[in-house]
Amino acid sequence: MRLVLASRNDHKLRELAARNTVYGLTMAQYLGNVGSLGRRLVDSQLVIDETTAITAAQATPRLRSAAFWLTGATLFVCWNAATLLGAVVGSNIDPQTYGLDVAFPAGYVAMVAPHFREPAGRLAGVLGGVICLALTPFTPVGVPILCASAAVLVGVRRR
Amino acid sequence: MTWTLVLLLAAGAYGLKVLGFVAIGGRRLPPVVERCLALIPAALITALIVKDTFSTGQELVLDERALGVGAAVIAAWCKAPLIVVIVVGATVTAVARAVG
Repeated sequence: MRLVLASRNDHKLRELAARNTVYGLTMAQYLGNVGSLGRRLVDSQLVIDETTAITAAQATPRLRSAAFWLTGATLFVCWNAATLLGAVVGSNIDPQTYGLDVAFPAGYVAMVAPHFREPAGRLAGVLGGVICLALTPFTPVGVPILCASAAVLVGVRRR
Repeated sequence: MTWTLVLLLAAGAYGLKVLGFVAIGGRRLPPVVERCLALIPAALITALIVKDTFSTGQELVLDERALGVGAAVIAAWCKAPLIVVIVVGATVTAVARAVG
């Protein structure tokens, strides 16, 4: 039982944390040179799927900065409040019954939509999805997502 | 034991964020690299959608989730707000499961 738990956590660490390093590279392009080291160390904690998707979709530095903080703060508060709520009432409801397991991919669909308006974003997105799908049966959980990063090489060609 | 693990994972997760954002990410990069980095959200978020929709662990699976996410894509295409897209995706999945 403990072994299984450890292995799941191990997967989670790779799945959740490793791609945040990749996100960090993108976010640093938009926000990295802003503020002190201390400020950037705080900003780091807010780097995650949702903040990356929404921040990168904004047109100006001001909007990006605002989007990053608004998304990050909202997510931080809601995530922890909902975790507490789930810990209290969780065992009484089955998330699958209400389709709650699809809330995440559905939300990501809405967040990635602006990126699909650009031809390069569309190409990188489709390629990333295909890479992930192709590798899923053959690699540990989390690895296909990381490998999907290779799709950004479509950006090498000048638009 | 559990708390040690939690703290260890938290430190690891934060460390990886700092690595990308502060340690490597702070410098100016050649335009070609910047163009590629700008495509990371599109590539990785789409990969996440695909993973959450078509896989359970290492298995590829086609089930009610595909219907829900398909409905979410249509909603997003029609420029529905985030919360509407989420509710549509979850509802269609739940209904498909209840019927099927």
